[in-house]
Amino acid sequence: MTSVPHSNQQPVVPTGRPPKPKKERARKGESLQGYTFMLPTILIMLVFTLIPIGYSLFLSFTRVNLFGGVSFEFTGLTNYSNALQDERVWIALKNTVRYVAFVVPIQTIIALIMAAVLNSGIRFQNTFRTIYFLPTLTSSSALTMIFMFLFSLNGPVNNALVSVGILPEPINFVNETQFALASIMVMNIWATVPYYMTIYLAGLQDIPKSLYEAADLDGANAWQKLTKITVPNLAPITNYVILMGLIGCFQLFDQAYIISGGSGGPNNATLTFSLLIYQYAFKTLGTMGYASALAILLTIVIFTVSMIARRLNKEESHY
Amino acid sequence: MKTWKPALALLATTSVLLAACSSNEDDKAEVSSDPSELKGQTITVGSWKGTEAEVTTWDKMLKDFTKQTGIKVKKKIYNDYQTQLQTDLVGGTAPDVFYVDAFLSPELSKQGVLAPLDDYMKQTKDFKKEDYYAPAYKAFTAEDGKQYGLPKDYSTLGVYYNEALLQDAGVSPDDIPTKSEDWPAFLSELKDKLPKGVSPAITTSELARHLFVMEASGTAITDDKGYAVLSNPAQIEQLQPIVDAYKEGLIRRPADLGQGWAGDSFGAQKAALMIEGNWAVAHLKQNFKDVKFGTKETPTINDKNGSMMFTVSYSMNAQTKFKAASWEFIKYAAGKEGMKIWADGAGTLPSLQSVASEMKLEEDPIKAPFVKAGAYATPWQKGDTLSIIAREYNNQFPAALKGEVSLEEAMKKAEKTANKDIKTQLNK
Repeated sequence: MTSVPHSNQQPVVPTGRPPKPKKERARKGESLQGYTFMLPTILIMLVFTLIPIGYSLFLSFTRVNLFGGVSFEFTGLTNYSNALQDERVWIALKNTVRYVAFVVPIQTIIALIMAAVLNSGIRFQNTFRTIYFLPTLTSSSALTMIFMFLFSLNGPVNNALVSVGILPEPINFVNETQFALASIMVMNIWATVPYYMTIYLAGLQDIPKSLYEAADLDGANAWQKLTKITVPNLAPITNYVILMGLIGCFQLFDQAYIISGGSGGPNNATLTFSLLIYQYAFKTLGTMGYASALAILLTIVIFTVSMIARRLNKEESHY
Repeated sequence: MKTWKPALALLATTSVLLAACSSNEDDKAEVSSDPSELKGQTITVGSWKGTEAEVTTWDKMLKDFTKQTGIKVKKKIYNDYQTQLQTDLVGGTAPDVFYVDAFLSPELSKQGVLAPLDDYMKQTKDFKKEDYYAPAYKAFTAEDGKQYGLPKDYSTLGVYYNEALLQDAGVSPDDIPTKSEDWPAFLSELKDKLPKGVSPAITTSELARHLFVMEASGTAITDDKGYAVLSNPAQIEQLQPIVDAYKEGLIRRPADLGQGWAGDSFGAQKAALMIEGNWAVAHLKQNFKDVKFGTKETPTINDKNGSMMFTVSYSMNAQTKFKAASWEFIKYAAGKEGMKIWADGAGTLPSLQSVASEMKLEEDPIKAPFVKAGAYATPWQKGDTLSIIAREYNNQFPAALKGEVSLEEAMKKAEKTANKDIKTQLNK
């Protein structure tokens, strides 16, 4: 592999000045000022993020009843050991991992290719960008309803496929065990690709034109330019896209909930980890502790997978 | 580790605060002997939005209540009833009186968040609990024998038939068998006479519709501890005809026809018969004006009438500060006057027999079958483990319908998974 120079990369300059004793007071005042400005955000973070996280961590070690007289019964790791022996947890994990393994790579690749195409200077480039971005602006539950209509038994997709002769008879994409999860995958890819495409587009603006000009002089073709210049230079963006994709996909909930009506059926086909957590948190009373333990487990899984992905991506990057 | 200290301190504070918020008040009944002294009090009543007609009627009824008693009512409308109500109950911000779906009643009453109404009823003159349809009233009687709500109305299942489709097929509505044992033969005969693409019958396949079929065998779906009993051979025998009819294409589910619920499939003339609740009547009349339909009672099983009943109560928050005013409201809304306004306007079935006969519902050709079922239907309520059992049943039953597994295997799996969950999670 040829190494690519990075003219756009700034050398890292340490911004912190060495402390000077006589300016100590001024600096203290400054940092106080800084904290004052941050106070609203810190408070909001504390109340709506940190305390709930801490509280659910605490709940995950208890059998808790939040109704009436709140009662906690400390049960140690029972919730966790129950979770590991729970067949439904493994099914949910399997479904979720399968979903992630399909959706994340595909959506990343499509987003990258579409961004590259829309950045290549074709006609009506801006119009296309706007159109492609529309699905991302729509709420995901509205998208699910539209999608269920499109792929329903009498919907346009089935009609088109049958009239062209690809299918002998319409397929019930949404309700058949073997298609339900796949339908959700297609839907989610369709809905999230534009968002990541926009991020890639922003990243593409940062790649210096000179690289492509140099490549042109060397006689590189479009594919070579894509794989040797665009992809490596976009590695940090790819990192971000993959991370966000992983987190989003592991938390898949609304589509699975709407399609199965909350049961995770048919025959556990759409049982995702978040749906499982929801069932224990809100559908069965008195299992909030177990739901919290599952949520913590999901956090651990997402964290581990994200770290592994980051590691792998870093090794391939040119930084 | 230093950074953990404040976090832990905060956590401890939160727990203490939460515990402090929910100290129990005495739960003595307070019935006002002179209702005029309650004038000017304001209570909050929690409900869900419901249909257009329900929204208008709800306002009308609340207005009438305020006019009669001087008690003001603040509305609280839930969009996601179950989740929001739970959050409100935990946070101590739940309304004074709220709707309770019979399905949730055992779980909520066990948590102690509902006030038992027995003393209130005893202290109220001329209160006739016998006037309620027995299944609707009993749906809110808990295991401890106490009454945790009074039914505001109810719905039952019945058979709908499309007049035009039956006529074209040369079948009279009177030919529809009243015994479920005769249905498979009738349906397969009907299938040949119907145009292609029209299913003979449509119904939703979930435990909420099948409970009475399973229990027609004489075996309850839960044992005395609340564990699931789904794979008893007698139960399988009752369910098997449904699975067989489905496999032969005699029954379809709305999802198979590409619709969200059976009412839409029936309205779109995709099925000649439908087994649905009385809520479909208003839906069909409003959205499918051209479809002429009639109704009948659900067919008997082993010569016994059966149907499902879905009912909702007005229940009192155990923490309410306005006990007397709250009871005034329940007494009014679940009593003759309030219920008449409600049933008239919202088109639901009144849970008081006297109101039903006053409204002459037994003579209404469309509503009569549903009203009759009020006397014998099985309420959709089965202790505090039903949410888990229903979840597994609804998850596994479709696999049996499609023939991926046998009905027996599906039910054994649902039973096993549900019971494992009940054991580990609910600590039975």
